[in-house]
Amino acid sequence: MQTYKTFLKIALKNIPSIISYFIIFAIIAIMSTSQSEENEKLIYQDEAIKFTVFNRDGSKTGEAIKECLSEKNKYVEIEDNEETIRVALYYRDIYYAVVVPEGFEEAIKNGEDMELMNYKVPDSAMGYYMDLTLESYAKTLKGYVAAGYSIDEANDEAIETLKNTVEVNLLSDVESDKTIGNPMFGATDDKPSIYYFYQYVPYIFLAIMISGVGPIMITFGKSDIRKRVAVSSQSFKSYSAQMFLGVVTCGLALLALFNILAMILYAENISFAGIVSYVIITACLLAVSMGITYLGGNLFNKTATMGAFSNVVSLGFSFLGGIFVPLEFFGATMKNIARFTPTYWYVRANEAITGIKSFADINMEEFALACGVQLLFAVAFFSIGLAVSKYKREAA
Amino acid sequence: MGKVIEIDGLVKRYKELVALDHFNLEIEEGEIFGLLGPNGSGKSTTISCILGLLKYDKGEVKVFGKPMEASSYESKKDIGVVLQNVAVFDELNVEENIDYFCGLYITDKKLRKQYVDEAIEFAGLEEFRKFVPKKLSGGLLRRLNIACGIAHKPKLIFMDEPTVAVDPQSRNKILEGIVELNKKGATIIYTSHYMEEVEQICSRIAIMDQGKNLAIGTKEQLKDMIKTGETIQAEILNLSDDIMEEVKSLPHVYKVEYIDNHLKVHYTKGQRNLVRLIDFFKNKDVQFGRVYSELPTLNDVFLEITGKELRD
Amino acid sequence: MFWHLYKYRLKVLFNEKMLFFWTGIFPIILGTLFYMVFSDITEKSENVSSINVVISTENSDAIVEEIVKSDNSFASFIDSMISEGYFDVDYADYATAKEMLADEKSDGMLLVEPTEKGVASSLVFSKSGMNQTILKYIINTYNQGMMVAEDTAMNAPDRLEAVLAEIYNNENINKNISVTVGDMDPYNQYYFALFAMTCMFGASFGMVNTAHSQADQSSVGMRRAASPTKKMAMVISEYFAAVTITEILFVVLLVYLTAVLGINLGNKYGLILFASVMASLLGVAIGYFFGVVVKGKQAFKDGVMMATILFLNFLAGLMMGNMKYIIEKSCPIVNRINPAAIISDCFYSICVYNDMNLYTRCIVSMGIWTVILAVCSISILRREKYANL
Repeated sequence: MQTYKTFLKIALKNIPSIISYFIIFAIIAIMSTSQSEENEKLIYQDEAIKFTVFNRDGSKTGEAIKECLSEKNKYVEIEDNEETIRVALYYRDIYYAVVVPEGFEEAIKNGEDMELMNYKVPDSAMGYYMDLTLESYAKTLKGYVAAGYSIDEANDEAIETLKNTVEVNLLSDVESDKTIGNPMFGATDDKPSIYYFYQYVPYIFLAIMISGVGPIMITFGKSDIRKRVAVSSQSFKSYSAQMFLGVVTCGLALLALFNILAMILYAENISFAGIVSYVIITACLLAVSMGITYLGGNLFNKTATMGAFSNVVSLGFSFLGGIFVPLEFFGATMKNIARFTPTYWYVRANEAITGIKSFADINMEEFALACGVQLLFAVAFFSIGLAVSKYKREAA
Repeated sequence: MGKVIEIDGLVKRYKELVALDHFNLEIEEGEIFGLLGPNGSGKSTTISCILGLLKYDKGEVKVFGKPMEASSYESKKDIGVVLQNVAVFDELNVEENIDYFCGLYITDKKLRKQYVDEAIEFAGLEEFRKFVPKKLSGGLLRRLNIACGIAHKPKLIFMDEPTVAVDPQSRNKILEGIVELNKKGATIIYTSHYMEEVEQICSRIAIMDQGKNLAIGTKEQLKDMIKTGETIQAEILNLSDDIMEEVKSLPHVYKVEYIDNHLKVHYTKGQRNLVRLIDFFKNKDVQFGRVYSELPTLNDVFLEITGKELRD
Repeated sequence: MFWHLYKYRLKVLFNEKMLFFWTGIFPIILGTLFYMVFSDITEKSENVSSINVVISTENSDAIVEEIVKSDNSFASFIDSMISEGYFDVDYADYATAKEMLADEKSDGMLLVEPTEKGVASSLVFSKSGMNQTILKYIINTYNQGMMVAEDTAMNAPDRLEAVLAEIYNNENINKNISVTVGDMDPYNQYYFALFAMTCMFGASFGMVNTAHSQADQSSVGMRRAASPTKKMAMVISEYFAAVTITEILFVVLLVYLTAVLGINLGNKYGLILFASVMASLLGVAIGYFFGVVVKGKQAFKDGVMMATILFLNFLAGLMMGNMKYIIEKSCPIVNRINPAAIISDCFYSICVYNDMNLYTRCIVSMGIWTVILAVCSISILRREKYANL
């Protein structure tokens, strides 16, 4: 067990750098979690969208538009000047600014067409939502004017009418009859924080395993040391097995670390079935990470190269596999490419066990498939790594 | 002949460890001065202090008669350094490396080109001009290291163990080169723990240990300082204790050993010891094989002064 | 002397293959990944498909279709939505509809209930998203239009036609004034974060310089310290050499993104280049700072610096685009001082907003950072005597 012991000895020396990685990534995971909570708030609580109205018309209609939009959103007063607007939009002091042009009320009265104008945060869900609300208001107002109401009456009626919105329920709370606020696109759905925590784990796992354990393998792989082992009484099989055991030990430590962290952070809303399934999916992920580490350790001779490999693989798989950008945003082509990354299958496994309260809630077919494919990836990486190692050993 | 280096009462501490303990040294122009000492005796520290790179706690260092500071750029212009570790850029080839370091001293491009060519020739690297350091053998790399230090034709050259891990051929080439540089007028300070090299080329030698200058002088002067004269060894089978005692009482003998059928007789200084010993053996009818005499080496000097072998 | 030092520093740095990977190749790999992921997203969102609506009722005795048909205007509204391709409608009983919703076979459930005034509807979603927003909006518009129409039918029936014409008028009544330059892809912010990362990775060149400049860090540093060349001359010329290389690699990335991948970053290339020079100055200064302040082995220093830079870039949205806005809402000061956020803001200001004020502010912030880091680094670097070698 000499190789194994030495492996762990070197690993222990690497602990400070692994810890610094861990701390940084733990911060990232926790911050991402709070970010997703932020998203959730945007969707389900009646989070007000900050907006402003420039009533250049000085008319009652302008004020009415302000009143109508203020119903659910937050009016912010800012100076009517393009520069100020731009800065306010950029720093999200406002998401939307309506410009009621001069002569707008007069045009409405006379049944002429005149456009409202707006500034908004480009391509934001908030901007889109405000567009729709404003359009409804204008149409309704015009309708009442056409029906013969005076402009002031029409405005009052329109405000009242727009308060009538269709009742919306969420499937899970149909019984509780809780209505939701402004539905937004972009944000996904009602996933719990722990989903987001585990969502980012692959990036962290890959990065720590490859850049933390990979260099140890390189130390062992140095041709001088390899030659020394080759002439020793230790068989190649035993040497490989002990190295493998070393990698597994480090991996298990990491696995425990993350799952314990998750259990501490989300103790309140995690079920026993949840714990077990999270351990299973992270174990599959660990197998993949170890496989890649093993492969990299056999492919490369320099610690620095290993660092590069670590970043390319962890960021590459994270982007391509749908860790950083949710899979549902992917087009068909990208989804097909994503299938060839182990991270994609991890994401699917994570989704399959989101919010489960008991084992019966798990979509077993999906869960088994997603975990199984990950294990296949792991086996593939290990096999290639083993082949490379054997090839190098014979070449040495 | 002026004094090139004057060191007076230099003290350097690394926390508790005293690296230099009231160290004194004077080096004359035109010398090849050898600084001998075991690992950790303070040789490199001394050189760093002379170069003005290292802060020291006490004492005074003068180079070319002027106090040496980090900002003594005028003095630095005439100094060349060949460090213990190979100090070249892995990214640059042989010619570029020499040109780079030479360029830190010589701004005139034409003159520099000439100097660089001369340094390449001096180091015997003509065929390796475009080689990067990684492609050079250990010996060639050391030669490049030297060429980078001396290309600007300094008046004072520090060589900190320039021959470590060098094959004998390259080593001879390097030593010849050092003598040649000296002949052209450069003062050289040479540290090594290869006794033979120092004996071979140095005009004066200082022996240091634990930050102290223990002895200084020409090699003859140093050898005279110690009481050991020659050592005579003889192969003798079954030497009796009585004879041993009698050998001990011969003139100038101060120590007798008998190990593995070898008699070793240590003498203090004196004449005709070998003849006297052989006569004694004949008189006593002692059968002996090969007999040979060794004169004291610097190693003996070193051993006696510092109490330890130079190479450990 | 400046050129001698500058020229050779360029040569040395050009041969640092690992650093070339980080500052040159790695951003290109990441840029390609962004391109692959985001160009597909943009294409996808352009083809809006029809919304899958399942119509159902909680009233278990009635047949859904019958309820819909009982209200003429509601039925014709649904028909027109189907014929115009907005809706894809299924009718199902409540349990089936719930299942369809849960399995995401349907975007939303429209629950109908017969009343005296016609059909009353409500919506049930299993999640929220683009389709849900549109569905809700369409139903709202119908309901609100109905209210206006009912009101008119009661009070002024002769004007009903004119009213309906206004309500179903599909002309745009609200025009967006773009604050952005041209037609910007929202995912461009990833490229700005990538630019920030590239310039900040110039730090690794700065760090190599410090290692070669300090007698206690490398034997080359010692040899140079023993030479008569002034320390400041070395530091300054080599600093600019590192900036030059970082800038060259930035330009390579910029050309790759715009010319090869065809990403639209506007046309203010002069301002982009000036911003990148400022960012490179800052990036290399970061390397000098870490090189002199962090103590330890080279590999350790490198690790600490790279982790810090990647973390700052994470905060600026390199991994998750909206990170910067989350911070802007909760702790805006972080975005004002995080160099990665400042750099990406700077590119944002010219490429997206064409806002010179913001641009200037970012440039000034970069300048301040560079000066602070440079002063700290130089105060340590300029010392020429060492306590330890």
